Parts: sequence; structure tokens; C-alpha cells
Amino acid sequence: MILTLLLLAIGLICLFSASYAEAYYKQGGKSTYFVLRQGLFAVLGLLAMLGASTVDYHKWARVAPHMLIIGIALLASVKVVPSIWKTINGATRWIDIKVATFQPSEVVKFAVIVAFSTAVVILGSERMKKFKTGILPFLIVIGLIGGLLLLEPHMSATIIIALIGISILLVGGASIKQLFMLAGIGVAGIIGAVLFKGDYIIARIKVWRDPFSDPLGKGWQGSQSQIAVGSGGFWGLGLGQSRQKHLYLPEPANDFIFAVICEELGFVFSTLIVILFAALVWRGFYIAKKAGDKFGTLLAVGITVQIAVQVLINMWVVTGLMPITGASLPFFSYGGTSLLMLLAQLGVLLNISRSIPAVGEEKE
Amino acid sequence: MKDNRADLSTVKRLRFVLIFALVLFAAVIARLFYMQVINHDFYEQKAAATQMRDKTLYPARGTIYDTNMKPLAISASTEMFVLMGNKVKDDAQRAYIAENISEMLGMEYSEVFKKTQETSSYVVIARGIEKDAADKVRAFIRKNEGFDRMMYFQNDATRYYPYGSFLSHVLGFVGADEQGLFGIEKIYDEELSGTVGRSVTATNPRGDEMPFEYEVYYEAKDGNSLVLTIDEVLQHYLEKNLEIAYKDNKVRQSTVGVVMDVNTGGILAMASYPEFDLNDPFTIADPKIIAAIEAESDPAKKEEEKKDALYKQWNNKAVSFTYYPGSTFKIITASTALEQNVVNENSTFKCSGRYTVSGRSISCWKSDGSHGTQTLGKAIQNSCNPAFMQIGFKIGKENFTKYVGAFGLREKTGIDLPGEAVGLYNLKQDIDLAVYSFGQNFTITPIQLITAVSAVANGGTLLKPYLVKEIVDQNGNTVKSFGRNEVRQVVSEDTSKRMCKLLEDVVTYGTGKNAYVAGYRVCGKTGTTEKIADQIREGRDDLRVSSFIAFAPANDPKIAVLILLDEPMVKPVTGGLTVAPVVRRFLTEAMPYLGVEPQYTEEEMKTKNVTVPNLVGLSLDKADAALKTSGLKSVVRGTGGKVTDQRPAAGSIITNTANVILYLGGTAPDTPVTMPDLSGMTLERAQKTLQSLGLFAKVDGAKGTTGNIIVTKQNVESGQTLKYGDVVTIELSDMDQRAG
Repeated sequence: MILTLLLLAIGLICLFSASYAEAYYKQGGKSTYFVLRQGLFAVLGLLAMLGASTVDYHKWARVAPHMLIIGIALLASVKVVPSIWKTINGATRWIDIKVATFQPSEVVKFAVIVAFSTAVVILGSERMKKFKTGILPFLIVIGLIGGLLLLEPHMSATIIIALIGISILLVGGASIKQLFMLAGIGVAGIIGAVLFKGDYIIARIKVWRDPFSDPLGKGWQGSQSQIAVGSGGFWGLGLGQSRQKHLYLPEPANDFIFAVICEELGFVFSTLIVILFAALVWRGFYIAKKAGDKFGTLLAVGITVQIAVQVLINMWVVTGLMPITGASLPFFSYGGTSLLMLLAQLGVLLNISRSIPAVGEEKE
Repeated sequence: MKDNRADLSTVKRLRFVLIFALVLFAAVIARLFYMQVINHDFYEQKAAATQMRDKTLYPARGTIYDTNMKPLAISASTEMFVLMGNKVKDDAQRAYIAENISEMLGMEYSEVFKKTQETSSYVVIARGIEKDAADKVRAFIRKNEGFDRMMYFQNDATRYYPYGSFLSHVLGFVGADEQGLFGIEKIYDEELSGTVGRSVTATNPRGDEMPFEYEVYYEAKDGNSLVLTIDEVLQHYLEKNLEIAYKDNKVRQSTVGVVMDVNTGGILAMASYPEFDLNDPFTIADPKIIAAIEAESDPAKKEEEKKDALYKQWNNKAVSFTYYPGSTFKIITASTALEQNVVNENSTFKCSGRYTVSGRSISCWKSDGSHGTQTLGKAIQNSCNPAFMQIGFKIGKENFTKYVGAFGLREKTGIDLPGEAVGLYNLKQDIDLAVYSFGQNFTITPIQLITAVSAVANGGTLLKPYLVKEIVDQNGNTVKSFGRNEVRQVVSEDTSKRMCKLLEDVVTYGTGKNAYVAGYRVCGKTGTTEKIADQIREGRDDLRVSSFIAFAPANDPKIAVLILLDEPMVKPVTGGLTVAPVVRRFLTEAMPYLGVEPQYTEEEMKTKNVTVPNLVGLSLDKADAALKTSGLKSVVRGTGGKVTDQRPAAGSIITNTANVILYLGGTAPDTPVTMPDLSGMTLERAQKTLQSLGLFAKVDGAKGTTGNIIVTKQNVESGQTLKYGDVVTIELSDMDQRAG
């Protein structure tokens, strides 16, 4: 709870700084445009969190199939009714509901968490060990969702959902041997892809490894992000002093907000933020471990892994550890509905932690 | 429990996933440590290269004004096109940029391509770009993604000469980087160009400065402006008359003129004709030369010829041309002799048509006879060579050389112009002294001669000639001013006075008669010499430098004028016939402009040019009275009480020997009249001819009862149709003035 509020507060401050230039250039000089909207959603999100924390998490199991079906239907609508979708930078990820936009993938993520957790509990440990019952059905669902997400395209959401699913299966008792084989097939698939569409992928890998080889073209985002991070140095340029946010960084208030943080606040503070996220993840797993039943454990794992993967993809992209893919940083990036969903899911996590049998050393 | 043993417990699986996640987080921290601490410098340098823009700030070049603050060379605001060479991707992109930019800016492809290969973040591709061309390039930048991050425009200032070829040889011009290349622009380059500034700013990719303080800025300081001694009006008169002289005399090379304020040494006008366009100095102005170059087939030779032609075009002959001064130099010889007291006005010199020195017979210019025995005054008026050889020997070699040096003829005058030359002077033997004394076989420059003669005119003080009288900063404050700068007293005031009288007589009675300006007392001396070396080289015998030097007014000299025709082709070529009229035309305009009141002698009053008053509406008596004050008379047509019309019209300027036609009742006829050819006629005959046609004349030029004074120029060509009562201008010259 404290971690959540801390991250939320720091996130808002950093967003204000990072979005300042963006708002200055693109919102006609209203530099508080982004941060005020985000603040409003933070308040709504906190209310949602409180609300969700009072709802018995077992109740989610009952609506799980419906949520999954609705989520998949929403994703499918990108092909059926594309008019309600909104495209930003070549990716169609948002449905416009006038007052705000939201990403159906966010809904699907939560639906997958609940549905998979429910399914694992229903299937039981025996059937989970078998490939046919313990992995295959899940794989089909992930494949279906992944396929729909790649239509948008939305690579990072695909990875997140796949990793959420695999994590739940792993903790839920699926055969480790089979999962490893699956991972092996995945690696083979990647190698196959390189062989099949070699030039394209090799070029992308080259730009990823050395974005300065094409700093004005394909390497622009990567090089500008790395310049921001690296030039921050040990102590940073000071809050608000980022230069890279002045139109050099794409989406300085969103996917590349961590680069602005690194530039302005330096190694010390950016490391602190990494640690805070790591602590949140650790706390999530702690709740999973102590949860009253297996459903709670799996639900907590799903929610925590979702946050962890989201954060890691964002940070890895920004620091150049992985190729560029659009992923926001929870609590920090601008995006009202995402924040709302995130806080609501943390409310679910809180409810799970309440179910922990009172043994003694309880923090929250 | 058996099953659970084969599999890991849920807790262990949880721990596995957690540890896996924490390792990935740790990787982020390790990566941050690597980027922000270990490799920080690399990224910081990259950041600086991306964000910082090092700009050179070019100052505006100072203005060059004439003496009355009329701007003659100004800085117009333009733009320069800058490429961030470090951001260009590859040669394909370089070629693409060079191809488009070279076309839009009218440059050579190879030149632009070469510049795009520079890897500096600040490569100036072109300067002085006009808005139209810049807009084209801007559209090109917008069309190509990413180009706005690697090229941009910056303010620039470009030299512009509002009057094109006006004062071209003096002003000079600037090169592609606004550096002075010739003339005033070159010699005062440091003053004019100012100080280049530099700014290092943090900018966003659009090139806008970021909204916070982060810059180093050294302000550019605009250049200082110059105020010249040149008077735009006199310069215009000079250039106009040099052009007329060039055309009238079919000059092969050029006409050169200098006008100096004899009391300060300030240059009031200086020109050569043909001129060239300062806004386009690299184009050869003379179509004949272009044709000659085009005819050359060897490309290397062609290039060489073109270069030579350009240098010749830009050459300011007033300071760089070395020539035999000829008889104009007799002023110096005579002044020296008077100063040394070896001759006086009563000395006499015998001319038998030739004079023998060291066994060599040197003839006088007057080959068809001799001057006989002459006084000093007559010898100067006749420009008699034997007389001047005798005067030279009275002076002696040592003193002669001393005075030539004292008059500044063996050193640069130090005028503030580049390219000043010094001639050859090597007086050793008697024969040298003999020919040197009438200005042969040694060379000087026009600026040296006019400076020396100004000393004779101004009371004997040699002054340093100068062109810039003031340097002012951009706020109009005077930084430095220049004025009369005395070099030395060469001759006494008394000698000066006596020389003025002698030289006034040259114009009144002698070879300078054609430089006579009614109402003004002009002093002057002719001079024509053969260009011996050029004649030998070209195998001809008609290459001359014909010149005339004058100063006025005789009683209180204000300005000196030297006009020189290099290779005039219309014969006969003599200073008196060829150049003196040019000087006269200049002085006729210049003297009234300078505010010198004309003082007519009684003789002059009889034939001066007057303005015809308005007589319409007056009674005949009153009209006659009005005409009488101008020295005019009338003839009457018709009968009546009042004047109803007049010819010529009121306001016309005519010579007062004509009769104004008054109409008493009715109006003047409107019949067309054909202009006759008056050349070769005496004034009397010309006037009669005109009168019989109903035309009137304004008469300029030589006057007097002696000599062979005839019409040499009319401002309306014969055969042209005029109206009854129109006024034409005719010029008279004394054809007897054939002295060199």
C-alpha cells in the first residue's frame, strides 16, 4: 500500500516534468495539461482500488469466462468495426470512448489472469501435469489473443499476456519439462524467423545493438533514449532539466518517461525507482505465497507478473537491453485508463492480502 | 505426496519466478550503472553533438557612404544555408542533397557535394541567399523526413551596391564570404567586416532554442561604416564625361579621371571607363572581350584570358597605371625652375624645332616649324620641348631628381587604396635630363601627378591623398576621422602663385584653350605621349596616352582634375584637342555645383549663355528692357501692343548673341525643322545657319578671336527633326591646339 502510494506520487511528479515539454510544444503551451488529467485518473484509480479491495476476490472467478469472451470480442472488433478504434503512431491499440481512450488489451490482461487462475484451480494438479489438459488449452487461448493483438500491432501486450499465462501455469503446477520444451520451441521459432525473414530482423537487431549507426532514421528513438539515459550521469541534470524531452525523445511522457527520469535524476534516483518496482513485485509474490488458497496465489502471481513484465519491458527498451517496442511504465506513463486498471488490480491484490491468515508480522 | 515429490512445490515455483524477475530488475540497474556511470562521457558527448548547436554569427558589413552620407555600398539581409555534416547518413544521401540544393541555389553540383562530405556539425553551404531560393529549399526540407534535423537557415547579410557600376573601381567588392577583394572594400576590410561572433545553444530538433538558459554567446559586432571624400555628384559628372570621351574618341583601353580637393588631398571623384557591375563583378562587362575569349579554343588559355580580362576590368588605373606623363609634367619642371630661381617670367628660350643634347637631336612636337624665341609663359603655352630641355639643364640633374622626389613622384602617395604602383625613374645622363624635363622616358601614376600638381596649386604643400574622411560605428559615432595630411612643403607660396598665372594663360591663350570654361578661371596643361613599348609589341604607331590636368579657379584653386585617355583612336590625338574638351565639360558642371560664382570678363559677357525670361504679356518696351539685362536683343513678328508668344520659350538657355523672336499677336509657327550638320563651322556661321532655320544655340567651349575655333560637337545629330524655335547645344574647339 505504501509502495503503491509512493510510486504513484513519484510517478505524477516525474510525469509533470516529462510531459512539460511535450505539453509546451503540442498543447499550445499548457504545460500542466497531461499531469492534471493524470491526477484526476489517479484519484479515480485510488477509489477503484479501495472498492476492489473490499470485493472478495473469489467473486472474480464467476465472471472470468465472460470477461475473457468480452475482451476477445473487443480485440476482434478492430477488424469488424475499425471506426471506434484510434490509431497512434501506426498502432491501433485504443478504443475511443469520447471522455477518454482505453486499451482493450488491458481488459484482456486482467481477464486472462482471472480465467487462467480459475481454470488451473478447476483442472487440479493431476490434469495440470498433462500437456493436453495442463498446457494446450491455455496455449490456444494465448495464441488466439496474441494473434489478435499482433493485428493492432501490439507486441509488448502479446509478450505480457504470454508471460502472465506461462507464469500462472508454472506456479499452478504445469510440467516444468513441458514448459521448457515449449520455451525450446519458442527459441526455435525465433531462429526460424531470423532465417525466414533474415535481412529485416538482422537489420532490426543491428539498429537495436547500435542505434547510433542510423541516428536520424531507424535508430532515432533508440539513440535519443540512450543519450538521455547516459547523459544523466550519476546525479542527473536536475528535475525539469531534461534536454532530450524537447522533441528529441519520442513520447517523453509515455513510453520514454523512464529515459527522462534517468536524464534528470541520474543513476541514484533511477536505481531507487527500479528497486521500488522490484520491492512491489517482491511484495506481490509475498502475498501470492501467503494467500489463503491456490486461486488467490495464482491471481496474485498474475497481477504481479503483469506489472513486473510491463515495467521490465519498458526499462529494457529505454536502456537498450531489448529492441524498441511500445510499452508504458506503470504509475509513471501518461494514460488514464491504464492507471485506473492498474490501481483497481492492485485493489484485488489488497483483497487477497486481507485473506492471509493472521499469523503475526503483518505490514499492510 | 508422491506426486508432489516429483514436482516442485508451489512455493519453490513462486520463488523461481520471483528470483527470475529480480534478476531482470538487477540487469536494469547494472545497465544503468554502465550507461550513467561508466560510459557517461560517451553519452554526454553524443548529447552535446545532438543538442548543442555551434553557430557562427556573422556581423553586418559596414556601409560605405559618399561625403554627403549617400550610401554607396550597403549590407542587405539575406540568409545562409547550414548543413550539420555530422548527421548526413551516407554518400547516397549526400548526392541527393547536393543534387537538389545545387539546383535550387544555382550552385555547382560538385561544389555542394564536396561541402556535404565535411563532417562538422556546422557546414555553411551557401551564403547570401535571397528569400525566393531559401523558400524553395525550405519546401525541400519539409518534404524529406529527418532533413529538418540536419539542415537549417541562419540570418546573413550580403553586400549590395545600390548604384551598380557607380564608383566601381574605387569601392571594389567582396567575395563569397563577404571578404573585401578589391578597392576600399579590401583596404578597409578589417574596419568594415566587424567581429564574428559565436553562439553555442541547446536546441530542439527543429532548431529552436530550448526554453531554458543553456548557451554560450559571443556577440557579433557589426562592422564600422566609412564616409568617403567622394562626392556622388562630382563622381557622376566625371563618370558621365569619361564615358562620352571613351565613345567620342573610340578609346581602345580606357579613360581615367581623378578629381582632388587641392587644399585637403581628399579625392572628390575617381573613375575609369569602362566600369563594371559591382553586384556582378565576375562577369566581363565588355562584349568585345567576351567575344575574343570565346574565340579561344584552348580551355586552359581561355581560363587564363578570362582571368586576365577580369583583373583588367577591376584594375583601378588611377593608382596602378604607370605612364609617361609627357607635357603635363612641364608643370613640375617649371615649378622647380621657378623655385630654384634659375628662370623667371622674363627668361627667354629659343626653339628651332629641335634641340641637340649629347650629340642627339631631339625635335619639338611642332614638326612643321619652330616656336622661335619665347618667354617662359609662351614656352608653357606652346608646350615647347626645346625650351623645357633648356630649363631642365638650368635646374641640373641633382636638383631635378630632388624635386621630382619632393613632389612625391618617386614613391607611393599612400592613398588608401590597394594596388598603388610606382613608376620607373632612372635619371643618369644629360640625355635623360633632357627628355625627363618634358615628361618622357620615366613613368608615374595618375594619382602621383594630380597630387603633385595639387601641391603647385595649393601654395606649395604636398598632401597625402585620401578617400576615407571618417570611420563611424554602427551607432553613428565617429571612431576616427581623417583630413589634410601634409607631407612636405615642396615649393613656396610665391612659386605657386606664379605657376597659377602661367597655367591660367595656357587655358586662356595656349594649348589648353579647349578646357576654357566661360566665367571660370581655369589653369591647365596638356600632355600626350606615345606608348612606345606597346607600339613595338603590337607593331603599330598610333598608341597614345593623352591627358589633361587642370585646376580651378586660378585665383583660389579648389579642385584639380586629371583626365587621361589610354589609346584614343580618333585623330588628331593631342591633349588640347582630345582631352581638354572633356575637362571643360566636367568643369562646366562641377564649378557651379561647388558653389564657385562665375565671373565673366567683358569679352565673355558678349557671348555668354543666358536664360531667356518670360516675355509673354509684356509690352514691347518692357520685353526689350527685360532682354537687355541678359544681353539679348529681339526681332519682332506682327504688330500689336503686347507680346503674345516668344521663341525660344522662357527658361531656355541660349548664347546671348542670338535674337529672341517676339510675336505681337498670334503664336509662333509649329513647323518642323531638320537639324543641320554644323561641324567644322565657325561660331558665326553656325549661328547664322541655325538662325535661318529658326533654331537657337547654347554655345560651350573654346572662345576667342585667335586660333582656328570651329564647331566640334552638337548635341542633336544632323538630320534629326526639331521644332521651330528649339535650342541645341554646340561645342567649339580650337583646332590649332595640337601640342602634346
